[in-house]
Amino acid sequence: MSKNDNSIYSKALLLSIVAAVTVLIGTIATVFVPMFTEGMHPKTDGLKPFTALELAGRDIYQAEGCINCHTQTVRPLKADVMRYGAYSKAGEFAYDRPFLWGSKRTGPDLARIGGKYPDEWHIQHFESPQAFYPKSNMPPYPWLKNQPVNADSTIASMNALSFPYTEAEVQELKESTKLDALVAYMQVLGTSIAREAAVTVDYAAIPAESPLKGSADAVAMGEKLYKAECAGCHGVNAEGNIGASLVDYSMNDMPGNDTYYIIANGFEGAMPGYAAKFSNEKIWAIVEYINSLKDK
Amino acid sequence: MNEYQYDYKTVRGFVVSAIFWGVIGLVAGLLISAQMWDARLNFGEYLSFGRLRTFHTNVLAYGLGIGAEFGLFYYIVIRLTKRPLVLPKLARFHLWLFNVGIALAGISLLAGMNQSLEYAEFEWPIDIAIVILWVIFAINILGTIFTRKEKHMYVSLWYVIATVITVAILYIVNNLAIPATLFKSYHLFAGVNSANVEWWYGHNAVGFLFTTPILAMFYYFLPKSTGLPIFSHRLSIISFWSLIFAYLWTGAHHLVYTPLPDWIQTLGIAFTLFLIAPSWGSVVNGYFTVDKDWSRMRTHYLTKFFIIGITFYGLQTIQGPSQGIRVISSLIHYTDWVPGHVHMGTMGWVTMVICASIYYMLPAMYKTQIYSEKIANTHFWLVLIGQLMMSISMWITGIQQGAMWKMTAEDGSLQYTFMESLLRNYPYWQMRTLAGVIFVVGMLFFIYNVYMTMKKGKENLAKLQAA
Amino acid sequence: MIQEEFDNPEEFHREDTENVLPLGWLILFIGLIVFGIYYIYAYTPAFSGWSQEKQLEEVMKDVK
Repeated sequence: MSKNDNSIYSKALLLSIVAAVTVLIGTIATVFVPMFTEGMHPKTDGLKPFTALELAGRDIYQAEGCINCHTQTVRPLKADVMRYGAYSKAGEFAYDRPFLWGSKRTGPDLARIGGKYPDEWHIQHFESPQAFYPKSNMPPYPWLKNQPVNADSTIASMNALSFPYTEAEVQELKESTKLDALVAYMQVLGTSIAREAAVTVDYAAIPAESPLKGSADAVAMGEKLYKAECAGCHGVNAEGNIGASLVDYSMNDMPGNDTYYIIANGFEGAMPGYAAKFSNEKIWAIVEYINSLKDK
Repeated sequence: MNEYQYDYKTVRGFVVSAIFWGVIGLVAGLLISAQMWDARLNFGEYLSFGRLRTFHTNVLAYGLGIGAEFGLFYYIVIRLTKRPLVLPKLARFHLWLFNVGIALAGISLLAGMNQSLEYAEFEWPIDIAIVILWVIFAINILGTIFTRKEKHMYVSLWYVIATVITVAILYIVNNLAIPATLFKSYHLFAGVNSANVEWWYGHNAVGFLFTTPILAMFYYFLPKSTGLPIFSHRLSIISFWSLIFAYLWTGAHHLVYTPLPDWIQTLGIAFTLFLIAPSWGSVVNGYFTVDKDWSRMRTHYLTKFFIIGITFYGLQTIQGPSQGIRVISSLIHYTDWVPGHVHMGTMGWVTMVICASIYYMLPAMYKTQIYSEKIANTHFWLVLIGQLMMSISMWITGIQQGAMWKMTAEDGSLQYTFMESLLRNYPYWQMRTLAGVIFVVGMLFFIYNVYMTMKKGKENLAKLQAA
Repeated sequence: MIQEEFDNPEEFHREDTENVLPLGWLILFIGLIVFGIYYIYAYTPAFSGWSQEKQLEEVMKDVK
């Protein structure tokens, strides 16, 4: 094979240079050039830099490797939008260094988790995810509530990133645990644009009478759904926890369509809506289950 | 015949180190695979899934993968240049620094120092150490190639050169960060730009840490172990240049349906599909090489390692580009399909070829024979079964997950809650743990064989030297 | 002193087929380039008007 002694394969320096140029072409075209275009640096109007506490929470999110199981980007796909909310826009991530979109959804996407649940939900869920979903595989994080935030490090980070902060924020930071910080970060995620549910139900469109009224099967199905999805907040026996006691609620004999409306649409900041996640039948089944509680 | 002796000590040091880190990384892998189906196996802060999974990928990629590559590159380069390393003492320091570096890096991840850039998780002080490590390596490798005694550079050396140069560019650019404290820094790039840089790096880390180095081994050790010369030199040339050209355009296929601008996604997908051609150039070249005499699959035990290895490379490079296509990505992205894909590459292609290369290299260095071909065959079948079982179970559950996330009921609402889709994975995840155990047992056969060969080799060398 | 054997270039290069490019592979190579050009044309907003947002708008039309 040494027929051509003058080929590039006999000149190491030349081959090295040509190889470097070869790999740089694609790099320049798809990475370096876009870097200097405006399309790569958009910023949503409602986006604010992280507060000191939120940044401390974000640091913990990174340290714990949350990215291994959770994504933070809702794709512009029907099922993603129905399950998680409005698809992610480029401008929402202007302060994300690095981006934390992730590549695996062992757990659900968190891009729109901010404001979906009350703080207390997160506090209890980090303590024991299994208290909400008995078979969940999320690790519990009980140590977070006992560890103070490293305030000096976070302030150094705020300075490094040129994020503004007040003396009050520093004070708050010094009094906060890692759990407080992580919850603050969860609650700000995806909130720079207005929350919009893909599916909402119009009150007028709900029949006043449950189509499943009096069905024992419906009560059984409702109970099963309740145990899987609702028991964390409202208690295993519907006695109430973060959310209201449904036993008490059932005593009020609320009309079925009122209960349906609440389950379907939720309350902003307190309870997520289930219109996209549960079929009509499933929501009515839960209504039936709740109504059955007053007889117990 | 030559007038000097090769110094193989550094090479052997890297082989032993790589195996050591390999065992640690594999054990971590088994534990996280079990944590996936039983959260009670998260043993506190330092051994919780989030930290341990990062530890698993990094220790195996950098400790086992790159460690073995350092050793095998030092071997291939001195063989093909027909001269010793220019700076053997620097190579010894490289080995020392490598082990200290991996130990510190692993501990730092368990301690929660994590940039959250996939496959670039280490914080900036460790990044600096890695850059120093790579420069030391580059000086020795390029220095030896530039002052070689054999004028013509064989294919493997092209891949070695491309690896050394490209990894340096990738690693430095993606790890540019704003340091806040000694343990914490922030990516220089923000948001969409950060994503684009990271996956340009991430995908090409696969390209230039797990493809080009392994091809360098393949092109060297396949002819050496089978006694059959490479089929077509022209095919090697075209495959090489088109592979290293196309790879750098493809990172965006990891960001399909994200806020990254559509045109970058599209370019990434188109070049990814094109990559099938150069990848299969090497696969076809390998097949035609052995086509001259297929009986060597039986008579030369290493032939099957290399042919099965390149076959997995071929499957990997069809599956990977397919996953980039938007419609397939929308189904399987973020599911367990992807770990199934990754493990076919790492367990079926990378580890298979590295182990085979070590099987060839050790007896060659010690002027002896492998301790036991029978054990090597047992190793082969166990890792093959373990790997197939793992990847197939992940593909099945991945498709199931993707479909459950999408399915809608008659009235248009989603059919399944997230929790329902999660629970359906558990049987497959349990199967994966079993597959992992089979694979690890296979690797233990490998380690035993390596240990016994080295023991036998040392005695043999002593005998030869005394003679 | 143990003598080293050198690698011999003939071990690596097969002379009779060194310039062969298998036809099937060549068709694959060229075919993928052609397909890539089509794909870039079809899915780049500036060329064809396609965008992932528009695609979503289409499918969301029939959500309840």
